[in-house]
Amino acid sequence: MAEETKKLEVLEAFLGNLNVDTLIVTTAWVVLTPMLMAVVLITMRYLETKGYMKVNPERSAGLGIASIAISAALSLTVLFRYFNEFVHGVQTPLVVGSQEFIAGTKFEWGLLIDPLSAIMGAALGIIALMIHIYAYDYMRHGEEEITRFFAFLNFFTGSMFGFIYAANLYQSLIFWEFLGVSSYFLIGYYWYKPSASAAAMKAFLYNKVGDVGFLIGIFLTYGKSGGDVSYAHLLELVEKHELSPGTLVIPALMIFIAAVGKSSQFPLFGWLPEAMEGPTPVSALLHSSTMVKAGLLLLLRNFFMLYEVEDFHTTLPDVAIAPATIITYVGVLTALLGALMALTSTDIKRILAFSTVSQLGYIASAIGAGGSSPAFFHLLSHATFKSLLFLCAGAVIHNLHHVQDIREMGGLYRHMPKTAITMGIGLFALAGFPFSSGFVSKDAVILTIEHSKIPGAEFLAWLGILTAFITAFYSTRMFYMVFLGEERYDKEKIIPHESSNIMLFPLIFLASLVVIESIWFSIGFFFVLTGQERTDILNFEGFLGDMLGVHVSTEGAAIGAGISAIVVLLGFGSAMYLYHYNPEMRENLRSTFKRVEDFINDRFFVDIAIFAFVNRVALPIGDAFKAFDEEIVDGAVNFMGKRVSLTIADYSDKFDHNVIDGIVNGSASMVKYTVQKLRQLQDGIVGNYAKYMILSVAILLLLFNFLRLTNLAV
Amino acid sequence: MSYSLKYHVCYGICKMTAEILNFVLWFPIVMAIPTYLVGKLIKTEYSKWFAVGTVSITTILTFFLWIQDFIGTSVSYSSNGFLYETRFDWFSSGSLTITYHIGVDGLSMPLLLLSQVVFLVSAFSSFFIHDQEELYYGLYLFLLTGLVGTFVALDLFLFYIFWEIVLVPMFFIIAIWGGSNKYYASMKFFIYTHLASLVMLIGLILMFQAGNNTFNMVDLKANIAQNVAQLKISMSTINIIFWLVFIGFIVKFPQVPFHTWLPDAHVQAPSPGSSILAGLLLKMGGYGLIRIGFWMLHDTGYFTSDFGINARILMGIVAAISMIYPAFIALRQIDMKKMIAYSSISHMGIVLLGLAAFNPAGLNAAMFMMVAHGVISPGLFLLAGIVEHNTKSHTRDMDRVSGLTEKMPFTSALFVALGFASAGLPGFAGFVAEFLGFTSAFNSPIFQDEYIWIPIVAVLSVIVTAGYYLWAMRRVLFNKPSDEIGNTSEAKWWESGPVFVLAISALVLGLMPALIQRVMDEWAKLAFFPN
Repeated sequence: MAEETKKLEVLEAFLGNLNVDTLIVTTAWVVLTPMLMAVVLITMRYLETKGYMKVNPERSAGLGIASIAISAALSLTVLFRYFNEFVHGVQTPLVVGSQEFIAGTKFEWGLLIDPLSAIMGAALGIIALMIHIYAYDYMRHGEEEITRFFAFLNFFTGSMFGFIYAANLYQSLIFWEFLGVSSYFLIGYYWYKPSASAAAMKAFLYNKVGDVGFLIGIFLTYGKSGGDVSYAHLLELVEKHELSPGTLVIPALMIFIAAVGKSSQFPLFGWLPEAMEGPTPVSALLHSSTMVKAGLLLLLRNFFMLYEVEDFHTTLPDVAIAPATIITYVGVLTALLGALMALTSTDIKRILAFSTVSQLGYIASAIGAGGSSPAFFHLLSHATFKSLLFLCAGAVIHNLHHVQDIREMGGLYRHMPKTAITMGIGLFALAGFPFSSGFVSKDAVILTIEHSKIPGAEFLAWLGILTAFITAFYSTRMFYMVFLGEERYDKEKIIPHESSNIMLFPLIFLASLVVIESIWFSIGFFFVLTGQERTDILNFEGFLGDMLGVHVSTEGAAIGAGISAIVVLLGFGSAMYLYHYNPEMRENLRSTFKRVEDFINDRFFVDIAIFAFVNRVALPIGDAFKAFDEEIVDGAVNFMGKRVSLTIADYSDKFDHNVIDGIVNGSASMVKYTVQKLRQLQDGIVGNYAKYMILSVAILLLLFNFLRLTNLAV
Repeated sequence: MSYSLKYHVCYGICKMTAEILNFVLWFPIVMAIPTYLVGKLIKTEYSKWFAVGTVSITTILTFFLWIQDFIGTSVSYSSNGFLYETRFDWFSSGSLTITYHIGVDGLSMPLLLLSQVVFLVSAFSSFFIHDQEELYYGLYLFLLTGLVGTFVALDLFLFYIFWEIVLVPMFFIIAIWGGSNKYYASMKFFIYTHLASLVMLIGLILMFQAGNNTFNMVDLKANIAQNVAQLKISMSTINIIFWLVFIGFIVKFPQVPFHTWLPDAHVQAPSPGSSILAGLLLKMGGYGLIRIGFWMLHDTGYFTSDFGINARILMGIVAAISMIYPAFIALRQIDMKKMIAYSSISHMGIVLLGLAAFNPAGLNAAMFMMVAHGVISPGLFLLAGIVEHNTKSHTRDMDRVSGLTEKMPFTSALFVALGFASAGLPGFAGFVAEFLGFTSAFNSPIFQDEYIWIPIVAVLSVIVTAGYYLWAMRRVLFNKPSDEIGNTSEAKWWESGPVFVLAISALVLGLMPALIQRVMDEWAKLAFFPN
C-alpha cells in the first residue's frame, strides 16, 4: 500500500494553465451538450405540436443519441486526460473552474474534476449511451412523442453529468433537483395514465423530503465554512483541521437525509418501485448510473463529514452517535428489506427495482462503515450489471407485449437465447456468483462492514451475508421463472422472438462489460487473496483506495469470500430446488409463511404509514387551517367590517337622529315658534311699525353702547 | 446624419435620463384620457392598442435606463445615493415643505423594470375584455402611473399620494370586470388596504415630526439619525414609528393574519388584474417596508438595538407562519386562482424572513424574491385565466378540469414550468431567492438556539409547496381529459405569449440571477452593510 500521504492540491482554471483550462472546458461540454440538445429537441417538439414542422422520429432519436455519444466521448477524454496529466501516484489534485452565479456570494457555477467525478462521469457516459441506443428501438414502435422522450432523457443524463462534476454543494443541489424534475417527467411520460402521473408525483415528493435535508445541510455548512461551500474549500478547511466531522454532525445527518430520499433508503424507498411507470430505458438509466446513485455519490463526495481520514485510514469522530453509524444501520436494513421485497415480488421490473433498493443499501452501509473505496467499487459494478438487467427485462417485456408478471412468463430461453444469456450474466453478477464482478465488490463491502468500528459490526456483516443469500435466491428464481420451466404466457397472442439487433447491441455490449469487469476484478481479488498489496489498476479496489484516499483492511478476505461463495451457492441451490425440483414444498412454505409474505408485500407498512401521515395529518392540517382562515381570521375581518362598523354606524345614526338632529330640530321649531309669534306683529298699522322701528334702533344703540363699554367691539 | 450629429443626439438623450424617468412616470396617466376618448369616440378597439403602445414606450425607455446605468460594473449613484433625480419644492409654506423628488436606486430600479414588463404582458392578456374596453385601458394606464410613482417617489407626501392612487383604479378593475363576488371583494380590498394606509400615515406623520418637519425622504433619513444620535428622540419613538409603518405595509404584503383580503381580491379580479395585484401591488408593501421601514430608520441603529432585535424576531415568526400556514391552506384549495393566491402569501414570507435575518444574503433574498415572485405568480394567474376562458363552463375548479395536456400542450408546458418555478425548482428565479432567504435565516445570529425553529419551519414549507403544485398539475394537466376540456384548442397567442415571456424571464433570472441581483447586492451593501 502506498506509503506517501495525500495532500490536497487545488488547480484552478482560468489562471493561465492551459491544461487545466482545456480540461475544464471539455468537462463543461460534457454537461452542456445533452442539456442544450434537450432544449433543441423540446423546441422541435413544440414546433411539431404547432404544426410548423414535421419531426422524423429517427432524426430526433439520432440527435439525442449523438449528443450523448459526444458527451460520452468527452467524458472518456476527461478521464484519460485527468489520469495522464494530473494524477501522480497518490497525488490526485482537484481541478476546479468556477463562474459567478449569485453576485456578492460564493455561490458559483463550478466544475470539479477529481478521481471520483472523472471515473463516475465516464461510467455514466458509456452506460447512458447504451441506454439511449436501446431506447431508440424500444420507443419507436407506436410512440408518437419520441422527441419529447429523448429531450427529457438527454436532460436527465445531462443533469447527472452536472451533478457528478459539481464543484460545490450548492451546484450539487441544483443538478440534484434537475435530476428530480427530469425523473418526474420521465416517470410521468405516459401522463394520461393515472398510475403514471401518481407515480411521478410520489417520486418527486419523496425526493423533496430529502431535498429539504440537503438544503438545511448546505445552510449549516455555509455557516461553518465562512460562506464558501465549494468542496475544494471545505477539504482545505478539513486539511487545516478548522473543520472536522465532529463539528459537522448535523450537516452530515441532513446530507444523509437527502441521500435517503434520492437513493431510496429506508424509509423512503417507496417511490422507486413506482418509478417503473416510466418506459423501461428510463428505469435502466434511473437505477444504474443516475438518480439513485446521486445520493450515494453525495455521501462519497462529503465523506469528510463522516470520517476523519489520516494516511488512508479512517477514524470515527468522537461524538455520541456518529452519523456514520446511523448510515451503516440504515444501509444494512435497507439491503435486507429490499432483498425481502424482491423475493416476494412477481413483477419482473419490480424485482429489479427492489434489488436496486437492496444493493443501494449495501453501498450506503459501506460508506457508513468508512469504506469509501469499496462503496464506490460496488457502485460502479452495480451500475453496469443493473443497467444490463433492466435492458434485458425491457426486451422481455417488449416481446411479450407489456406483460410484466413473471408468473405469466417462462420457457423464454428457447425463443430469445441471446437475451437469456445476457440477462443470466447480469443475474450472476447481481447474485454475487463466485468470481463475478458483483461477488468481488459485494465481498469488499461486507468485509468493510465487518472491519469497521461501528458498534455491532459483526452482526451487521452477518446480516449482509444473509442478504447475499436472499439475493442469490431471488435472482435464481427470477431467471428460472422467466427463461426456464413451462411456458405460461398466452401462446395465442404472443409469439416471443429475439429482439432486433439495435436492441441486442447494448445488451451484448453491457454483458461483455460485466464479463470484462468480472475477470478484471477477479484478478484484483486474486492479489488480495494472496496477500499482495497492489494498488495499481489491476487491483481495482486498491486503486480506488489510492484515488479516494481511503484503504480498508483486507484481512480475512479469503474467509469472507469463502463464506459468501457458500452462501450464494446455497441460495442458488435452494432456489433451483424449490422451483425446479420440488414445487410442492415451495407452495407449502408459502402457505405457512403467508402472513409474512403479505407483510413484505405491503412493504413493511412503511408506505402505508407515510400515506396515512399525509392523509390523516397533513391534509387535515390543511383543512383545519383552511377552516380557521375562513371562519376565524377572515371571519374577524368580516365581523369588523359588517357587525362592528355597522353597529357603530347604527349608534351614530341614533345619536345623530336623537341628539344632534334633536338639537337642530329643536332649534328649528324654536325659530318657527318665534317667527309665528313675530308674524303677529305684522298687523298693517303704520303707527305700530314706526313704534317697532324706534324700539329696534333704541335696542341696537343700547347694544352698541354696551359692547363699546365692555370693549368687545370698536 | 453625420457622425457628430448622431453622436450629439445620442449623447443628448443619454444625458436626459432624469427627464426620461419623469416621462416614464407621467406618460401613462397623460395617455389615460386619450386612450379612453379614442375608444369612446372613434373605435373601441383602438384603446387597447393605445394602451399597449403607451406601455411599450415606457417599457423600452425603462430598459434603456437599465442598460444605460445598471448593467455591467458598479452603479455610480449621486451623493444622495440615487440616480436620475428630479427635485424641487412643490409646496412650501412656513416650516412645512413638500418636495417633488423622484429618483431610482438599486432597490427601486428592478421593481420599476418589473412593473413595466408585467404591465406590458398583462395588457396583452387583457384582450379578452370587451365590456367597457376603453374605460378598462384608461384605468389601466392610470394604475401604471400610480405604481411607478410609488417606486420612484422620494418624498413621503408624494409617496403617500401614489400609494393611495393605486387603490382607485384597482378598485374599479375588480368591481367592474371581476367575478361573481366582485363587489364584496373590491370593497374589502379597498377598505382593508386603505385602513392599513391610515395606520401607515400616522407612522409617516410621526416620522415627519421626528425628522424636523420635512417630507423629503433623504433629508428625513439624515435628520432622524442625527436627532437620535443627539438623543432628541428616544429609540422607543423610533420603535413606534417602525411598528406603525410595519403594520401599514404588512397588510399590503400581505402576511398572516392580515392576508384575507388577498384571496378574495385575487380570485375575483380579472386574470390580468390578479397578475398585477400579485406581481406588483404586493411588491409595493415589500418595497415600502424596505425603503421606509428599513432604509430610512437604519441609520438610527434601530435594527441592532434591543427594540429592533425583538421586532426582527417577531418578523421572523410572522414570516415562518406566513410561509407554512397558507401553504397548508393552498393544499386544500380546489379553485386554481385561490391556490395561487395562497401560494403568493407563502412566498412573500421569504421577503420578510430575509429582512428579519438582516444580513446581506437576507436583503438580497428579500429584494430578489420580489422580482422573482413578480414574474412567476403573474404567469400562474394568467394561466388560471387561460384555463377559465377555455373551459366549457368557464371554471377554474381543479376537480373538474383534467387532462389539459391533450388539448393545450403548450399551455400545459408553461403551467409545468411556472408551477415548478413557484415550487422553488433550481433554474428558475424563485429558487435563488428562497435559497438566499433560507441561507440568511439559518445564519442570522438572532435565529439560533431557541429561535432555530423559525428557519426550520420556513424551510419545511418547501415540501408543502411542492405538494400542492404537483397535486394541482396532476389533477389539471394529466390523466384523461374531462368533459370541461371538450374540444378546446390551444390558447391564442395573446393568451399564452405573455405567460411565455414571464416563464422565460423566470428562467433567465434563475440561471443568471446576477443580471438583476448584482445591483441589489451592491445597493444592500451600500445602504446597510458598508463594511
